Amino acid sequence: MHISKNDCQKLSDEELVKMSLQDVEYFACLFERYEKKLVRYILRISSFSKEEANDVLQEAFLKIWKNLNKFDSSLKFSSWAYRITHNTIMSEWKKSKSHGKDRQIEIDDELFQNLPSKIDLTEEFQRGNNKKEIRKILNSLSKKYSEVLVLKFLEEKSYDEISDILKKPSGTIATLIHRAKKEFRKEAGRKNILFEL
Amino acid sequence: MEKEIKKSQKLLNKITAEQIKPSPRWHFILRNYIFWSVFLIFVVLGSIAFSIILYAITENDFDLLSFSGSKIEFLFSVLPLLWILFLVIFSIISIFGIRHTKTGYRYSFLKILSFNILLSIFSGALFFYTGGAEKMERIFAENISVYKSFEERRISRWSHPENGFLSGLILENKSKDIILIKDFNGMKWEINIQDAFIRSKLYLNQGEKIKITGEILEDNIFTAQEIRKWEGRESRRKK
Repeated sequence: MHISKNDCQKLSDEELVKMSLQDVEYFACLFERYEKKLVRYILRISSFSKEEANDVLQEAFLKIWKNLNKFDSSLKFSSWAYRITHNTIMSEWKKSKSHGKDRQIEIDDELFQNLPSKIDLTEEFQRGNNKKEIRKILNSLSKKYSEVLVLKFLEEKSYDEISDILKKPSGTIATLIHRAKKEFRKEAGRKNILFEL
Repeated sequence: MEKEIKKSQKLLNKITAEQIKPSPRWHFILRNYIFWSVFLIFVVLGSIAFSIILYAITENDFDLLSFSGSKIEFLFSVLPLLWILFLVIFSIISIFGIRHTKTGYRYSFLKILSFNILLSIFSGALFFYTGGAEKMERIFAENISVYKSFEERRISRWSHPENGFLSGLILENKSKDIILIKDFNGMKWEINIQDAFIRSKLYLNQGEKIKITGEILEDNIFTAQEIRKWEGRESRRKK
Protein backbone atom coordinates (compact mmCIF):
# COMPACT_ATOMS: atom_id res chain seq x y z
CA MET A 1 0.00 0.00 0.00
CA HIS A 2 1.60 3.27 -1.08
CA ILE A 3 -0.62 5.46 1.12
CA SER A 4 0.66 6.07 4.61
CA LYS A 5 -1.45 6.00 7.75
CA ASN A 6 -0.69 9.69 8.12
CA ASP A 7 -2.15 10.44 4.65
CA CYS A 8 -5.32 8.62 5.63
CA GLN A 9 -5.74 10.44 8.91
CA LYS A 10 -5.67 13.82 7.20
CA LEU A 11 -8.72 12.99 5.11
CA SER A 12 -12.37 12.93 6.14
CA ASP A 13 -14.58 9.93 5.32
CA GLU A 14 -16.21 11.81 2.46
CA GLU A 15 -12.82 12.78 1.03
CA LEU A 16 -11.66 9.19 1.32
CA VAL A 17 -14.74 8.04 -0.61
CA LYS A 18 -13.88 10.46 -3.43
CA MET A 19 -10.21 9.46 -3.39
CA SER A 20 -11.11 5.75 -3.35
CA LEU A 21 -13.04 6.17 -6.58
CA GLN A 22 -9.84 7.47 -8.16
CA ASP A 23 -7.40 5.16 -6.42
CA VAL A 24 -8.57 1.93 -4.79
CA GLU A 25 -5.66 2.08 -2.32
CA TYR A 26 -7.52 4.80 -0.40
CA PHE A 27 -10.32 2.34 0.20
CA ALA A 28 -8.00 0.50 2.58
CA CYS A 29 -7.95 3.66 4.73
CA LEU A 30 -11.73 3.53 5.09
CA PHE A 31 -11.57 -0.17 5.91
CA GLU A 32 -8.96 0.35 8.59
CA ARG A 33 -10.80 3.33 10.03
CA TYR A 34 -13.98 1.32 10.56
CA GLU A 35 -12.67 -2.19 10.96
CA LYS A 36 -12.57 -2.37 14.76
CA LYS A 37 -15.85 -0.53 15.26
CA LEU A 38 -17.72 -2.65 12.76
CA VAL A 39 -16.31 -5.98 13.92
CA ARG A 40 -17.35 -5.01 17.43
CA TYR A 41 -20.81 -4.11 16.14
CA ILE A 42 -21.11 -7.43 14.30
CA LEU A 43 -20.15 -9.31 17.44
CA ARG A 44 -22.63 -7.29 19.49
CA ILE A 45 -25.68 -7.92 17.40
CA SER A 46 -24.97 -11.41 16.19
CA SER A 47 -23.75 -14.67 17.57
CA PHE A 48 -20.95 -14.91 15.00
CA SER A 49 -17.44 -15.87 16.09
CA LYS A 50 -14.65 -13.34 15.63
CA GLU A 51 -13.50 -15.15 12.51
CA GLU A 52 -17.00 -15.13 11.05
CA ALA A 53 -17.36 -11.46 12.00
CA ASN A 54 -14.23 -10.69 9.98
CA ASP A 55 -15.69 -12.53 6.98
CA VAL A 56 -18.95 -10.57 7.34
CA LEU A 57 -16.96 -7.34 7.47
CA GLN A 58 -15.01 -8.30 4.36
CA GLU A 59 -18.30 -9.03 2.58
CA ALA A 60 -19.81 -5.74 3.81
CA PHE A 61 -16.82 -3.76 2.55
CA LEU A 62 -17.04 -5.41 -0.83
CA LYS A 63 -20.67 -4.22 -0.99
CA ILE A 64 -19.58 -0.75 0.12
CA TRP A 65 -17.00 -0.75 -2.67
CA LYS A 66 -19.49 -1.87 -5.33
CA ASN A 67 -21.95 0.80 -4.19
CA LEU A 68 -19.43 3.56 -3.53
CA ASN A 69 -20.99 5.76 -6.21
CA LYS A 70 -24.28 5.46 -4.37
CA PHE A 71 -22.89 7.11 -1.26
CA ASP A 72 -24.88 10.22 -0.52
CA SER A 73 -22.86 12.89 1.25
CA SER A 74 -25.99 14.13 3.04
CA LEU A 75 -25.55 10.96 5.11
CA LYS A 76 -22.64 10.26 7.44
CA PHE A 77 -20.33 7.67 5.91
CA SER A 78 -20.36 5.85 9.24
CA SER A 79 -24.17 5.53 9.12
CA TRP A 80 -23.97 4.20 5.58
CA ALA A 81 -21.22 1.74 6.49
CA TYR A 82 -23.18 0.58 9.54
CA ARG A 83 -26.29 0.17 7.34
CA ILE A 84 -24.51 -2.02 4.80
CA THR A 85 -22.83 -4.01 7.55
CA HIS A 86 -26.15 -4.43 9.30
CA ASN A 87 -27.79 -5.71 6.11
CA THR A 88 -24.88 -8.06 5.50
CA ILE A 89 -25.19 -9.42 9.05
CA MET A 90 -28.91 -9.98 8.51
CA SER A 91 -28.44 -11.82 5.22
CA GLU A 92 -25.60 -13.93 6.65
CA TRP A 93 -27.69 -14.60 9.73
CA LYS A 94 -30.60 -15.76 7.58
CA LYS A 95 -28.25 -18.01 5.63
CA SER A 96 -26.81 -19.56 8.77
CA LYS A 97 -30.30 -19.92 10.23
CA SER A 98 -31.48 -21.74 7.12
CA HIS A 99 -28.45 -24.03 7.49
CA GLY A 100 -29.34 -24.69 11.11
CA LYS A 101 -26.24 -22.95 12.38
CA ASP A 102 -27.97 -20.28 14.44
CA ARG A 103 -26.33 -20.27 17.81
CA GLN A 104 -27.98 -18.71 20.82
CA ILE A 105 -25.94 -18.26 23.95
CA GLU A 106 -27.43 -20.25 26.79
CA ILE A 107 -28.45 -18.08 29.72
CA ASP A 108 -26.64 -19.06 32.84
CA ASP A 109 -29.06 -18.49 35.72
CA GLU A 110 -26.36 -18.73 38.33
CA LEU A 111 -24.45 -15.85 36.79
CA PHE A 112 -27.50 -13.62 37.01
CA GLN A 113 -27.99 -14.41 40.68
CA ASN A 114 -24.54 -13.03 41.38
CA LEU A 115 -25.02 -9.74 39.59
CA PRO A 116 -25.51 -6.43 41.44
CA SER A 117 -29.09 -5.19 41.63
CA LYS A 118 -28.67 -1.99 39.62
CA ILE A 119 -26.60 -1.67 36.47
CA ASP A 120 -26.02 1.16 34.00
CA LEU A 121 -25.99 -0.61 30.66
CA THR A 122 -23.73 1.77 28.69
CA GLU A 123 -21.29 2.28 31.56
CA GLU A 124 -21.10 -1.36 32.46
CA PHE A 125 -20.52 -2.40 28.92
CA GLN A 126 -17.82 0.21 28.45
CA ARG A 127 -16.10 -0.87 31.65
CA GLY A 128 -16.31 -4.43 30.51
CA ASN A 129 -18.40 -5.51 33.46
CA ASN A 130 -21.31 -7.88 33.00
CA LYS A 131 -20.75 -7.89 29.26
CA LYS A 132 -21.65 -11.51 28.97
CA GLU A 133 -24.88 -11.06 30.89
CA ILE A 134 -25.93 -7.98 28.96
CA ARG A 135 -25.22 -9.84 25.75
CA LYS A 136 -27.30 -12.77 26.91
CA ILE A 137 -30.27 -10.54 27.65
CA LEU A 138 -29.85 -8.81 24.29
CA ASN A 139 -29.71 -12.18 22.59
CA SER A 140 -32.91 -13.26 24.27
CA LEU A 141 -34.76 -10.21 22.91
CA SER A 142 -36.23 -10.15 19.43
CA LYS A 143 -33.85 -8.83 16.74
CA LYS A 144 -35.79 -5.58 16.23
CA TYR A 145 -35.31 -4.69 19.90
CA SER A 146 -31.75 -5.88 20.39
CA GLU A 147 -30.46 -4.03 17.32
CA VAL A 148 -31.83 -0.64 18.43
CA LEU A 149 -30.53 -1.13 21.96
CA VAL A 150 -27.07 -2.03 20.68
CA LEU A 151 -27.01 0.97 18.35
CA LYS A 152 -28.32 3.40 20.97
CA PHE A 153 -26.57 2.30 24.14
CA LEU A 154 -23.51 0.37 23.03
CA GLU A 155 -22.64 2.05 19.74
CA GLU A 156 -23.97 5.34 21.15
CA LYS A 157 -25.64 6.44 17.94
CA SER A 158 -28.18 9.27 17.79
CA TYR A 159 -31.82 8.68 16.78
CA ASP A 160 -31.13 10.17 13.34
CA GLU A 161 -28.10 7.96 12.84
CA ILE A 162 -30.07 4.86 13.86
CA SER A 163 -32.82 6.00 11.48
CA ASP A 164 -30.26 6.16 8.64
CA ILE A 165 -28.71 2.83 9.56
CA LEU A 166 -31.96 0.88 9.86
CA LYS A 167 -33.79 2.92 7.18
CA LYS A 168 -36.71 3.65 9.47
CA PRO A 169 -38.22 7.03 10.43
CA SER A 170 -36.81 8.63 13.61
CA GLY A 171 -40.22 8.45 15.26
CA THR A 172 -40.34 4.70 14.69
CA ILE A 173 -36.84 4.39 16.14
CA ALA A 174 -37.91 6.30 19.27
CA THR A 175 -40.91 3.97 19.70
CA LEU A 176 -38.76 0.89 19.12
CA ILE A 177 -36.19 2.03 21.68
CA HIS A 178 -38.91 2.73 24.22
CA ARG A 179 -40.40 -0.74 23.75
CA ALA A 180 -36.98 -2.38 23.64
CA LYS A 181 -36.04 -0.79 26.96
CA LYS A 182 -39.22 -2.15 28.51
CA GLU A 183 -38.52 -5.60 27.13
CA PHE A 184 -34.92 -5.45 28.32
CA ARG A 185 -35.97 -4.44 31.84
CA LYS A 186 -38.59 -7.18 31.90
CA GLU A 187 -36.04 -9.77 30.82
CA ALA A 188 -33.48 -8.46 33.32
CA GLY A 189 -36.16 -8.35 36.00
CA ARG A 190 -36.64 -12.06 35.59
CA LYS A 191 -33.01 -12.33 36.65
CA ASN A 192 -33.50 -9.87 39.56
CA ILE A 193 -31.28 -7.18 38.02
CA LEU A 194 -32.28 -3.58 37.65
CA PHE A 195 -30.67 -2.04 34.58
CA GLU A 196 -30.44 1.69 34.09
CA LEU A 197 -31.35 2.53 30.53
CA MET B 1 -1.21 -3.51 13.16
CA GLU B 2 0.34 -5.99 10.77
CA LYS B 3 -2.79 -8.12 11.00
CA GLU B 4 -4.98 -5.06 10.21
CA ILE B 5 -2.92 -4.22 7.14
CA LYS B 6 -3.26 -7.79 6.04
CA LYS B 7 -7.03 -7.65 6.22
CA SER B 8 -7.29 -4.39 4.32
CA GLN B 9 -4.70 -5.66 1.85
CA LYS B 10 -6.71 -8.87 1.48
CA LEU B 11 -9.72 -6.75 0.57
CA LEU B 12 -7.74 -4.72 -1.96
CA ASN B 13 -6.27 -7.89 -3.44
CA LYS B 14 -9.73 -9.34 -3.92
CA ILE B 15 -10.99 -6.12 -5.53
CA THR B 16 -8.04 -5.92 -7.93
CA ALA B 17 -7.80 -9.65 -8.66
CA GLU B 18 -11.49 -9.98 -9.44
CA GLN B 19 -11.55 -6.56 -11.09
CA ILE B 20 -14.54 -5.52 -9.03
CA LYS B 21 -15.61 -2.03 -10.06
CA PRO B 22 -18.06 0.28 -8.29
CA SER B 23 -21.40 0.42 -10.13
CA PRO B 24 -21.67 3.60 -12.20
CA ARG B 25 -23.21 6.66 -10.57
CA TRP B 26 -25.85 7.06 -13.28
CA HIS B 27 -27.23 3.65 -12.29
CA PHE B 28 -28.14 4.95 -8.80
CA ILE B 29 -29.34 8.32 -10.09
CA LEU B 30 -31.60 6.57 -12.60
CA ARG B 31 -32.95 4.25 -9.93
CA ASN B 32 -33.79 7.22 -7.73
CA TYR B 33 -35.49 9.05 -10.63
CA ILE B 34 -37.49 5.94 -11.48
CA PHE B 35 -38.90 5.75 -7.96
CA TRP B 36 -39.67 9.49 -7.92
CA SER B 37 -41.38 9.08 -11.30
CA VAL B 38 -43.42 6.13 -10.01
CA PHE B 39 -44.49 8.30 -7.10
CA LEU B 40 -45.44 11.29 -9.27
CA ILE B 41 -47.18 9.27 -12.00
CA PHE B 42 -49.31 7.42 -9.48
CA VAL B 43 -50.13 10.59 -7.57
CA VAL B 44 -51.41 12.03 -10.86
CA LEU B 45 -53.39 8.84 -11.57
CA GLY B 46 -54.70 8.93 -7.99
CA SER B 47 -55.79 12.54 -8.53
CA ILE B 48 -57.64 11.56 -11.69
CA ALA B 49 -59.33 8.70 -9.83
CA PHE B 50 -60.25 11.07 -7.00
CA SER B 51 -61.66 13.65 -9.42
CA ILE B 52 -63.83 10.98 -11.08
CA ILE B 53 -65.06 9.86 -7.65
CA LEU B 54 -65.94 13.49 -6.95
CA TYR B 55 -67.70 13.69 -10.31
CA ALA B 56 -69.65 10.51 -9.56
CA ILE B 57 -70.68 11.82 -6.14
CA THR B 58 -71.91 15.16 -7.48
CA GLU B 59 -73.72 13.49 -10.35
CA ASN B 60 -75.47 10.82 -8.32
CA ASP B 61 -78.77 11.10 -6.57
CA PHE B 62 -77.85 9.99 -3.08
CA ASP B 63 -81.01 11.64 -1.75
CA LEU B 64 -82.98 8.86 -3.44
CA LEU B 65 -81.54 6.37 -0.99
CA SER B 66 -84.70 6.66 1.13
CA PHE B 67 -86.87 5.76 -1.89
CA SER B 68 -84.95 2.66 -2.84
CA GLY B 69 -85.84 -0.81 -1.64
CA SER B 70 -82.44 -2.26 -0.90
CA LYS B 71 -80.16 0.45 0.47
CA ILE B 72 -76.98 -1.63 -0.02
CA GLU B 73 -77.92 -2.41 -3.61
CA PHE B 74 -78.59 1.28 -4.23
CA LEU B 75 -75.24 2.31 -2.74
CA PHE B 76 -73.42 -0.30 -4.83
CA SER B 77 -75.11 1.05 -7.94
CA VAL B 78 -74.25 4.70 -7.27
CA LEU B 79 -70.82 4.49 -5.62
CA PRO B 80 -67.91 4.54 -8.09
CA LEU B 81 -66.39 1.41 -6.53
CA LEU B 82 -64.01 0.79 -9.41
CA TRP B 83 -62.56 4.29 -9.06
CA ILE B 84 -62.32 3.96 -5.29
CA LEU B 85 -60.36 0.73 -5.87
CA PHE B 86 -58.16 2.51 -8.41
CA LEU B 87 -57.50 5.33 -5.94
CA VAL B 88 -56.43 2.82 -3.27
CA ILE B 89 -54.16 0.93 -5.70
CA PHE B 90 -52.60 4.11 -7.11
CA SER B 91 -52.00 5.43 -3.59
CA ILE B 92 -50.31 2.19 -2.53
CA ILE B 93 -48.03 2.26 -5.60
CA SER B 94 -47.12 5.93 -5.12
CA ILE B 95 -46.32 5.28 -1.44
CA PHE B 96 -44.16 2.33 -2.54
CA GLY B 97 -42.39 4.68 -4.97
CA ILE B 98 -41.56 7.39 -2.45
CA ARG B 99 -40.49 4.87 0.20
CA HIS B 100 -37.87 3.56 -2.24
CA THR B 101 -36.33 6.93 -3.05
CA LYS B 102 -32.99 7.76 -1.45
CA THR B 103 -34.44 9.42 1.64
CA GLY B 104 -38.00 8.06 1.54
CA TYR B 105 -37.44 5.92 4.64
CA ARG B 106 -37.13 9.06 6.78
CA TYR B 107 -40.87 9.74 6.59
CA SER B 108 -43.37 7.63 8.47
CA PHE B 109 -46.04 5.72 6.58
CA LEU B 110 -48.71 7.94 8.12
CA LYS B 111 -46.95 11.13 6.98
CA ILE B 112 -46.51 9.83 3.43
CA LEU B 113 -50.11 8.59 3.34
CA SER B 114 -51.49 11.95 4.55
CA PHE B 115 -49.29 13.85 2.09
CA ASN B 116 -50.38 11.55 -0.71
CA ILE B 117 -54.08 11.88 0.16
CA LEU B 118 -53.87 15.69 0.44
CA LEU B 119 -52.05 15.92 -2.89
CA SER B 120 -54.65 13.68 -4.57
CA ILE B 121 -57.54 15.65 -3.05
CA PHE B 122 -56.10 19.02 -4.03
CA SER B 123 -55.10 18.16 -7.58
CA GLY B 124 -58.14 15.89 -8.03
CA ALA B 125 -60.51 18.71 -7.03
CA LEU B 126 -58.71 21.04 -9.45
CA PHE B 127 -59.06 18.47 -12.23
CA PHE B 128 -62.74 18.01 -11.42
CA TYR B 129 -63.55 21.73 -11.44
CA THR B 130 -61.84 22.18 -14.79
CA GLY B 131 -64.07 19.47 -16.29
CA GLY B 132 -61.27 16.95 -16.68
CA ALA B 133 -62.99 14.24 -14.65
CA GLU B 134 -66.05 14.16 -16.89
CA LYS B 135 -63.91 14.01 -20.05
CA MET B 136 -61.68 11.33 -18.62
CA GLU B 137 -64.64 9.19 -17.56
CA ARG B 138 -66.10 9.50 -21.03
CA ILE B 139 -62.82 8.52 -22.69
CA PHE B 140 -62.63 5.54 -20.38
CA ALA B 141 -66.19 4.46 -21.22
CA GLU B 142 -65.66 4.90 -24.96
CA ASN B 143 -62.48 2.87 -25.06
CA ILE B 144 -63.12 0.09 -22.58
CA SER B 145 -66.09 -1.99 -23.63
CA VAL B 146 -66.62 -3.77 -20.30
CA TYR B 147 -66.66 -0.51 -18.40
CA LYS B 148 -70.17 0.74 -17.66
CA SER B 149 -70.13 4.53 -17.67
CA PHE B 150 -71.87 6.68 -15.06
CA GLU B 151 -74.27 7.72 -17.84
CA GLU B 152 -75.20 4.11 -18.62
CA ARG B 153 -75.59 3.34 -14.93
CA ARG B 154 -77.77 6.42 -14.52
CA ILE B 155 -79.96 5.39 -17.47
CA SER B 156 -80.42 1.95 -16.00
CA ARG B 157 -81.25 3.40 -12.56
CA TRP B 158 -83.81 5.82 -14.03
CA SER B 159 -85.51 3.37 -16.37
CA HIS B 160 -87.84 1.75 -13.86
CA PRO B 161 -91.21 3.50 -14.13
CA GLU B 162 -92.79 0.59 -12.26
CA ASN B 163 -90.61 1.60 -9.27
CA GLY B 164 -91.29 5.30 -9.77
CA PHE B 165 -88.13 6.24 -11.73
CA LEU B 166 -88.50 7.47 -15.29
CA SER B 167 -86.26 9.49 -17.58
CA GLY B 168 -86.05 10.66 -21.15
CA LEU B 169 -86.08 13.49 -23.67
CA ILE B 170 -88.87 16.10 -23.76
CA LEU B 171 -90.65 15.84 -27.11
CA GLU B 172 -93.39 18.36 -26.58
CA ASN B 173 -95.09 20.65 -24.05
CA LYS B 174 -98.66 19.52 -24.63
CA SER B 175 -100.19 21.91 -22.11
CA LYS B 176 -99.35 23.75 -18.90
CA ASP B 177 -99.67 20.51 -16.95
CA ILE B 178 -98.74 17.83 -19.51
CA ILE B 179 -95.47 17.13 -21.27
CA LEU B 180 -94.60 14.34 -23.67
CA ILE B 181 -91.29 12.50 -23.31
CA LYS B 182 -89.49 9.63 -24.99
CA ASP B 183 -87.66 7.36 -22.52
CA PHE B 184 -84.25 5.78 -23.20
CA ASN B 185 -85.94 2.58 -24.38
CA GLY B 186 -87.80 4.56 -27.06
CA MET B 187 -91.23 4.51 -25.38
CA LYS B 188 -93.36 7.65 -25.33
CA TRP B 189 -94.90 8.84 -22.03
CA GLU B 190 -97.36 11.52 -21.14
CA ILE B 191 -96.26 13.17 -17.91
CA ASN B 192 -98.63 14.98 -15.61
CA ILE B 193 -96.58 17.73 -13.96
CA GLN B 194 -99.41 19.55 -12.23
CA ASP B 195 -98.24 18.84 -8.65
CA ALA B 196 -94.58 18.22 -9.37
CA PHE B 197 -91.57 19.80 -7.75
CA ILE B 198 -89.30 21.07 -10.48
CA ARG B 199 -85.62 21.55 -9.75
CA SER B 200 -84.01 24.87 -10.56
CA LYS B 201 -82.23 25.42 -13.87
CA LEU B 202 -84.87 23.30 -15.53
CA TYR B 203 -87.21 24.94 -18.02
CA LEU B 204 -88.92 21.87 -19.51
CA ASN B 205 -88.11 22.92 -23.02
CA GLN B 206 -88.31 20.59 -25.97
CA GLY B 207 -85.11 18.56 -26.35
CA GLU B 208 -84.21 18.77 -22.63
CA LYS B 209 -83.24 15.51 -20.87
CA ILE B 210 -84.99 14.97 -17.55
CA LYS B 211 -85.35 12.51 -14.65
CA ILE B 212 -88.74 12.04 -13.01
CA THR B 213 -89.90 10.43 -9.79
CA GLY B 214 -93.56 9.57 -9.47
CA GLU B 215 -95.92 6.75 -10.36
CA ILE B 216 -97.62 5.16 -13.33
CA LEU B 217 -101.24 6.24 -13.58
CA GLU B 218 -102.13 4.05 -16.53
CA ASP B 219 -100.40 2.77 -19.68
CA ASN B 220 -97.77 5.31 -20.74
CA ILE B 221 -99.19 7.98 -18.44
CA PHE B 222 -96.99 8.98 -15.50
CA THR B 223 -97.75 11.35 -12.64
CA ALA B 224 -94.63 13.29 -11.68
CA GLN B 225 -93.74 14.09 -8.07
CA GLU B 226 -90.41 15.64 -8.85
CA ILE B 227 -88.56 16.52 -12.05
CA ARG B 228 -84.79 16.89 -12.21
CA LYS B 229 -82.31 17.92 -14.84
CA TRP B 230 -80.69 14.83 -16.35
CA GLU B 231 -77.17 15.73 -15.20
CA GLY B 232 -76.32 16.40 -11.58
CA ARG B 233 -78.44 17.52 -8.69
CA GLU B 234 -79.93 20.95 -8.14
CA SER B 235 -81.90 22.76 -5.49
CA ARG B 236 -85.67 22.31 -5.44
CA ARG B 237 -88.29 24.77 -6.64
CA LYS B 238 -92.06 24.40 -6.78
CA LYS B 239 -93.65 24.64 -10.18
